Amino acid sequence: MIVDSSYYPIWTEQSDLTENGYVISYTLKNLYDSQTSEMVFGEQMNNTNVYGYVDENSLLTQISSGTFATSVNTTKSDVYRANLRLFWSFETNREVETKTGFDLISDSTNTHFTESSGYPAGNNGYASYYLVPFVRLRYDQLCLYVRFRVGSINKQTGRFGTEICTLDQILQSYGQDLLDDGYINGETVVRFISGVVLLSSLRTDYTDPLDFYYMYPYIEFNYNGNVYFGKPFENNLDAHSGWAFNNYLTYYGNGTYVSSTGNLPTANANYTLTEFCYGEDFCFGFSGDNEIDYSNFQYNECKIFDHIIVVKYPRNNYYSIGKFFNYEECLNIVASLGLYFSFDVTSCGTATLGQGITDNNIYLGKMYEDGRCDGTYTRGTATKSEPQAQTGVYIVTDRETDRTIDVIPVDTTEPFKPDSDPDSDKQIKPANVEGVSMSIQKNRRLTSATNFISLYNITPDQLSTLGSVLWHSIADYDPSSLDAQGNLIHNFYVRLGQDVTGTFDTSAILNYFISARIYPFSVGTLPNLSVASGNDIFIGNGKVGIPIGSTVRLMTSTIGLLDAGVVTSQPITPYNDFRDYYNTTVTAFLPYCGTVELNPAEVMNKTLHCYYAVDFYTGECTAYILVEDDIEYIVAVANGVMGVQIPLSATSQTQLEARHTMDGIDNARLISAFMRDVIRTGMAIKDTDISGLFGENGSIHGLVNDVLNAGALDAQRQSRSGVSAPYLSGGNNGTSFFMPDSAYLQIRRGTYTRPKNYGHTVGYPNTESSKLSYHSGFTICHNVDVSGLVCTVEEQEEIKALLESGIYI
Amino acid sequence: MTEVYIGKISCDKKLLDKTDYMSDMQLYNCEIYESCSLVNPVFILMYDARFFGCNYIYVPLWHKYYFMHNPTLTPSGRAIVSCHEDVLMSNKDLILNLDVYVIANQNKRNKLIVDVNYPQEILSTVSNLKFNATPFNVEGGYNTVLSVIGGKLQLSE
Repeated sequence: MIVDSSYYPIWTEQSDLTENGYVISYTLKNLYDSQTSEMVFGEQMNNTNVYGYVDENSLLTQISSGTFATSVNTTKSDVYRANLRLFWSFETNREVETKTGFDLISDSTNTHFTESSGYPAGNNGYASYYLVPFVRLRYDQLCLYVRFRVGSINKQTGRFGTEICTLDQILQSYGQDLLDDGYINGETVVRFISGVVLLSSLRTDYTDPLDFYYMYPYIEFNYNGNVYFGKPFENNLDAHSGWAFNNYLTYYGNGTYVSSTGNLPTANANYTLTEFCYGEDFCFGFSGDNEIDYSNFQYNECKIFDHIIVVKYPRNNYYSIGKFFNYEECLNIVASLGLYFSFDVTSCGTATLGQGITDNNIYLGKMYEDGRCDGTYTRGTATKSEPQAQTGVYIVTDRETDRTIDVIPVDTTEPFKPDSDPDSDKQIKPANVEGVSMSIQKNRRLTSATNFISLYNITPDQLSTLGSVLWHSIADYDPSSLDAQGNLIHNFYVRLGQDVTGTFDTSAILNYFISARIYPFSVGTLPNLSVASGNDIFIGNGKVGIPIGSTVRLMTSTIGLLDAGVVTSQPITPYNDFRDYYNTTVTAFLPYCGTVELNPAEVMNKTLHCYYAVDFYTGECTAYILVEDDIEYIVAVANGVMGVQIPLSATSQTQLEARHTMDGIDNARLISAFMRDVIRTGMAIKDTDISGLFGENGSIHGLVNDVLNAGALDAQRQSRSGVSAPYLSGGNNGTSFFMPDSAYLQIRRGTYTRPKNYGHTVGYPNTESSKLSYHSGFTICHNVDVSGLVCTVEEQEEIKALLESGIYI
Repeated sequence: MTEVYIGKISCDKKLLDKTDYMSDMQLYNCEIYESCSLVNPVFILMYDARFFGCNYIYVPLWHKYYFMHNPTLTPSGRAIVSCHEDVLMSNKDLILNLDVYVIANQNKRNKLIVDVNYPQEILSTVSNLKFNATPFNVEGGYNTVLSVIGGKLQLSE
């Protein structure tokens, strides 16, 4: 038993507490059970559930902050299963020594009642309200992966063994001795839990109602001149013994209150304030009702203190038999555990702990460098500077890969829906990625503009003006009365070899206009696109400029990159387990490209970045979805058409493209031969050369058009088709403009309902290979090797069958 | 004569360590009724009304625990008790020391293992997540690209 003197003023003379501490062990025994020769521990104070015991030979050791610990003899079963619920230490990743480095937390706080009179007459005793159920819940979690301090007590120094090892190592080192008699070389085995472990697991949404049956107080009181003691309900000393315990909560009828503030009930009038929990429903004893109805209590604001608040306060001429713990006192008691705690269940389940803490609902009991806790606490962001928030979580595991985050204690407060998943505070670690990054070349510029084709970035109004200029000039064609624009066009036609004295093919000039496409964004402002400004649109040999009245932008690079934003691929209410992946689809909707299915295992809990590459020659686009991690990688590529084609002539786009495709190869051969000559001879390309290329058959424009539009770009298409990532062409000319203007991710998962007793009856998937003693609760094993069991074959077979069908540990 | 403790357990038979759930274990003297195995022994002993409600037997001599079946009373005032060994309790220390591969557990869970037993409803839960930026928000302005044959590149940058 560990007792904190600040809460249990039994040991008022610390001078008694020597390192050998024999004196106190007698006091302990005398206090708790003078009927037996041993002080026993466990949920029940009888020898059917002994986890450890102290006797006259037990040592009592003083540790920091006036806290004392007895040595506890253990039985062999304790070693196999960490059931000893008496010692726990929350030491922050430090190797420690007695008195300086760790603190043992009292599992028994509470109160020493003052003298009183009234009914029951002369009630004067002690009550020890165990915190066992409260602390044990966490202790069992702590025991999952903690290391043990093992060794014998040095009776000269009173210090414990310094060996730190795992449970398996304990068994390897001392197994036989422990199997024989539970002792090592005849000495008491003392084990400590060391290290602050699994702080995150200390989060809880523990909302079970107060269960008085877990609270086995020791009652000692004076009645009719006789001192009675022991456990209530068992010592049926008289008609009043039964309520001796419960009257701490219910005695005096309505007189029990628990407050969520620091206020005391000072008059009958304010007993009805909501801050006080009204004790009427606890009525027991006087009414003869032996059922405790705590239905109200569990909902009051003080549920965090279920196991530590005991409020007794006078009313109606009855005297106090207890102590009122106000709000701040309760905080101090909880803070003395040196743990995170909160009154807000939601925060318990979701708040970030450690360095990232911001939630003001999260408190942290301060622990000093020597492991001492004095009940003070920090809150919210102030916690960041605390050592506990700065140290990592130290977990010992026998798993081959240290994915300890995958194995967590299960809270069975069920049934639940996704928004109340008790495991939702545990973040699944995203899938590992190895190799090199597949980064987008965001700063690359493709200066592909040539004298063969020019791209102008204009506004729709400018395009309209251009058409007006062209058609105006042609429609009003009269060589004898041409205006300035008409002269330009006229001269241009002359250059083309058109017979301007009669009718001619007016579409000839339109053949210089390959395409016009409208895009859903401002083209010229793309960061990796070069533009130059001017007032005219030039075609052909560049000597014919068509003024359209305002600034135009000549694009000197032809492929742009658009940033379509990022998103974290995580369901809004994640299960944070396999259900986020299994029977789950992740679909990316990409404007102008359609939808792409993503692999949940690749993208879940990752940051996805979407880019679009746009080819302004063709209006086509390619969307990339990139996972931004330590190593970037592409998880999806989709193609579509973003530029909306605006027909400029009677020739349909389909016909144009068909012709481009058919002619492309031949024309590419011609143009490449020409360019080869240029390169070989080093000849300069002059206007006359270019104009000379405009033969009577007008083939040059088709040549250039075909080569660039059909040959080269089709080659690009073909190369894209080799992309192995999810690929889906989507979007359609023009009609895509009504789609949502953002990329979306849609995660579809199943909906689950877990029975409350799922873990107890079915069990959760587990993949651990270890000693069976490492586990607790319902456990199913696979193909158990029982050959090492020293028993009959029949027994072995039955044991094997039982283990493989599930047993309770 | 064999000494046995007869009492009650109040837990599932599959619980490994039933120590916490044993009660009223009383010492009796009995005899082996007839030839039988250690796994399924049959004891005979003097009838005692305390038998009723009892379901568990511990034989210290063998260090074995047994589930007790309905006792049969004889005209001579004795009771014949058939038993079946509780192999878990009798060998609990050895069993706890077994190296096992655990595939399901009540308190520890590998969250990434698919649990096909999980009750799944027919409904789907859909999360719509929007990428945090979009370039596709411009209507009008310089959003048109005109592609022409030839041209002039000597415009001012």
